[in-house]
Amino acid sequence: MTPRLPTLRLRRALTLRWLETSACVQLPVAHGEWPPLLRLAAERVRAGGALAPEDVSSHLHPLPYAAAAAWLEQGTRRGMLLRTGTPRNPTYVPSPLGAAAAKLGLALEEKQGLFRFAVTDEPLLASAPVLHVEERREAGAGEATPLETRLAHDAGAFGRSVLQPDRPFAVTRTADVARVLPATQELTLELELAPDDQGPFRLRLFAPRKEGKGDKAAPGVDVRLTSPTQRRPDQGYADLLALVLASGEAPRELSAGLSAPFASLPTEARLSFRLRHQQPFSVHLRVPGQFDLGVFEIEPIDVALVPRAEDVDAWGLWLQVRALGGERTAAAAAKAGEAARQKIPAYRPRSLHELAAALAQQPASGPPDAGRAALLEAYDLLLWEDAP
Amino acid sequence: MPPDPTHQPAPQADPTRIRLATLLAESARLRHASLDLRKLDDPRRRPAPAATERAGLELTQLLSAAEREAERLEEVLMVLPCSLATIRQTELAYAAAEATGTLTPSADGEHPGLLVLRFPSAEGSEDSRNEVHRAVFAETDAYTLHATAAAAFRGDPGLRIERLSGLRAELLLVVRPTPGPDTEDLRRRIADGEPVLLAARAPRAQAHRRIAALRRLLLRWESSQLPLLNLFNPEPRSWGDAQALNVGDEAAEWRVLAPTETTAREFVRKAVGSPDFALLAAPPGPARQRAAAELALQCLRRHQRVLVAAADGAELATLLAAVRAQPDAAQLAAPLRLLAEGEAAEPRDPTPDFAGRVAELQRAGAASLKRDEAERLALDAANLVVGTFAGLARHPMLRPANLARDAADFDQLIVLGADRLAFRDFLPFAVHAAKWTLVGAADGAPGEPTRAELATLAADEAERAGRFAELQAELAYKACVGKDGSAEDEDAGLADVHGRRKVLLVLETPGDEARSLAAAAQHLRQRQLNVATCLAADADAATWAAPADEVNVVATTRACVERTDLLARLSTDFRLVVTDAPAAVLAPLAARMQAPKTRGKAAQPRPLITLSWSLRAADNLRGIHVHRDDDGARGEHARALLLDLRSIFPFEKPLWEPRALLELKERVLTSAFGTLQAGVRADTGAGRSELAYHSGLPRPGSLASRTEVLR
Repeated sequence: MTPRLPTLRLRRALTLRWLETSACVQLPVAHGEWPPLLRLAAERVRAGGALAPEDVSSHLHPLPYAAAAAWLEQGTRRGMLLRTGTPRNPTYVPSPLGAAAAKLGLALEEKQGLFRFAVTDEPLLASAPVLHVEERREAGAGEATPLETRLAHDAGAFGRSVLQPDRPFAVTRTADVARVLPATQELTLELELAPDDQGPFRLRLFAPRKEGKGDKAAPGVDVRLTSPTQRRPDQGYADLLALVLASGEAPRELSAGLSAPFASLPTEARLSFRLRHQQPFSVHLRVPGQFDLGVFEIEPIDVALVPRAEDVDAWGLWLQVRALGGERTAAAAAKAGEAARQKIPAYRPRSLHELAAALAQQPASGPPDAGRAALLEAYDLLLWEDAP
Repeated sequence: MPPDPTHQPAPQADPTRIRLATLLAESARLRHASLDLRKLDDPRRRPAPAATERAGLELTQLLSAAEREAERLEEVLMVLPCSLATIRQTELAYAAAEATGTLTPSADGEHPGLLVLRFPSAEGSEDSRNEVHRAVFAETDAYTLHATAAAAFRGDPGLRIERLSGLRAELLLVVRPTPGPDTEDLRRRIADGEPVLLAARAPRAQAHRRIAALRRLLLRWESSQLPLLNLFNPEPRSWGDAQALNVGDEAAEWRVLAPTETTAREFVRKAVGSPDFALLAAPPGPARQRAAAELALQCLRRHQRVLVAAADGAELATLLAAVRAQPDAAQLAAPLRLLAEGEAAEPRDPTPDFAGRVAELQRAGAASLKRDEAERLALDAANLVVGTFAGLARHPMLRPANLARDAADFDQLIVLGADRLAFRDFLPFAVHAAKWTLVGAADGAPGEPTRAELATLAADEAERAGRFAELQAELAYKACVGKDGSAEDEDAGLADVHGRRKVLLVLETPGDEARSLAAAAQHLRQRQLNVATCLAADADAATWAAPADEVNVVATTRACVERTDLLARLSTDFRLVVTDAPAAVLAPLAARMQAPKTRGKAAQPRPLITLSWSLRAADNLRGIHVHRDDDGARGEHARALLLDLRSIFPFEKPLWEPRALLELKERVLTSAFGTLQAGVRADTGAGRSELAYHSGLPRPGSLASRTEVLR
């Protein structure tokens, strides 16, 4: 049986700064003539080809060759298409941003003007620090100082606004000076690690709502962002969980791994088959030379426990004895055995006589042999793929 | 000079915008200079940032003038005489309307209920033609017809008509009258071929386009508009030298121009190589059309989007024919033509027009398109967008609703006949292009503003300075004593024994009527004239038919003569009329003058002699502008202008300095071509010299790297 491992929720505060500067930004616009073209281009790419001007004439609009070519060329100017092919026979494929816009049924336009950028120094978002962009008509107050943060996207990259997730954008060029707006905003970043996640991980950003403002029941901003931190492809949930467990800050039962010996499990965990840790704690998720996700606060952990085959007996025996209580009749033993089997189907209920013999063999107290009595081993947690 | 109360400080340019524009301009320069890396580090070719406070100030002043003008247009009515078209003209107009699909073809060629109007008085002069174009082929298509000019100017209900189509070149208008019981008489007059008066609201779209262009340059300029801003920057060093481009393999790459056309080839090299603008001084003719076609083709070959504006539709047709004649035209050029209201394309020109392409895109094709989508697609799918000045004004980006949108990104604007495009009307096109090439004759003059429009602008300036009533009164005084500077024999017979002529002064008063009239009367009385004033309330008096002999001047207002029958009763001794109101307002008096009571003898014609301060000012301003290279003729006009601005009694005292009028001349009369040759800024200094000091253009050496003269 595979243990059902916990979904880890790692949280930390995130500060949003606002910068204002002039920039060239490719922004989505609702121009209905482009999405069919972008979809056609995407189809061509799926079929292993690229879009040629003739395709426009034959599939979309009655335009002569030169007109179709001029239209496609406009698509490249606006960041929706990329030119491929030869200068004499140009062909076009959708750009990553163009493809994202086409999925939303939008087109793109490059605007040059004054923009406000919400940026963060969060290392997880190091290559996409712009979380929101909005156009401004009038410049705000304040001195323009040299722009320290790189706002422009690399070629092919683009961002999504956390406030308007359906508005992808790409910043192509900015001035080298900017005004820093005095107000900052505190957000909470939550990294959710589910057992089947191999990345990219799901990040959520919460804006704490002010008392008395707006609808309190409304959910916070929920965004999925791609973690840009470099990871090895085989590093997934398990590695991060292992880091959490290995943290010095982690509670003892967790830092010992979820392979804590059966004997050291609290009674509540033995009965409910769940290991709960109620107090949040902080962990620095860092693998030298590979990644550094920084310090996170770990949400209370609740792990479902599943006994391994060789530990079924000990656990089942404990459950049967506990269910038996003070009564010493064969019927009561059978009933308690059935109750234990209900919880651990693989457990073979013992008769009253067998129970007595088993209990007599156990030491009265003291720590059990760690290697022997561990109910869960590390490889159960899929911490290593080549588990024994 | 007192500070202008309407003057607003120029908004501070945003430093982040300047930095971004500088970075983008530097990138563009590097891309451009990579054509010849040796010239990359030449400091002469390195332009300085262009947005300066002085440029902002200049633009602010232009903007406030443009806004004033637009505000004034809100109330202006244009009144034009028109009549029923001839049968031939009617057939022509119907055929054109049927061809464009505006009218459903009918078997007998008749369209009951419709009228075709012509404007016979405008057929002779270009100025009047422009006036008709302005009035009836503008953004509005609803007008009214009236029997009299006074009714038209009063804004009476009249016969309402709606424009269905028209022929711009032939000055024909197909209209549908709205039936009404009160207009039977008027309809009969029209049917009888009698002239009627068409009243139209003055078009405002053009004024709004100018305002939008100036606002864009002032507040939301982009890096591609830096050269345009630089024109308003008084520092000539901010322009670098342009670099003529080697077109490549001489034999293979030249498309139209022959090796012997060296000047034209040099012009194309300069125009392609220049980072901002290029000029070709050339008279209209095939030589400059070939040069322009070559330039357009060289731009298209470099994947640029080209916008071609021309004064003359025929010149455009020639250019398009030269492009089409290229063997690879089908791969290279996707032309699209924008036609003005009432403009017809050449019959054999296969260039698709904008409206037709949009209709086709909406009708055929797998993807259905809304109108705005089809319009955008039609324009995006064209790399050579052409039109006359009026035609290009119909580009969706120049529609009033879209003026605040982002600029359309043309790489090159070619203006053919840039001498006939006023600089202020060039700006709305230029803000949509990164570079501009102007082709024009050195001595041309823009058709707009028309004489009447320029006169109104001059009157507006005088009114703003608070001098208009005095100036009109002073002209009345000069007319009265025979020193108005008009032809000696014209009013020689009118003088009495004291050498005084009887003058009717019809004041044009945009503000308070009574006050202006009082000020004018006061001015005249100070000059020892006998003045009788007449406001609307006094017009009923019987004395106007025979005023006292000693009355030299009857002073009244335009509103009074429009609203009352004063002119139908006033003594015909008052043949000398000083007025800034349109001549049509005086029609009742003129009619009486032209039909004197005679018995048995042939009547001597006794036409009204009208003098208008604003028209004289307009004519003199235009004269100064047109004869800018001829000192003698220019001096004549300058002297005449100054004469109208000063009081001749008791001593020659200037009533008003000419500075505002000369600035007006610079602002509205200079063509785009003239401006780029001589500069935008006009600074007449504190004196009253009419000389304008120009700067804002490259130094002569840099200008030469952008200019070529084709003879």
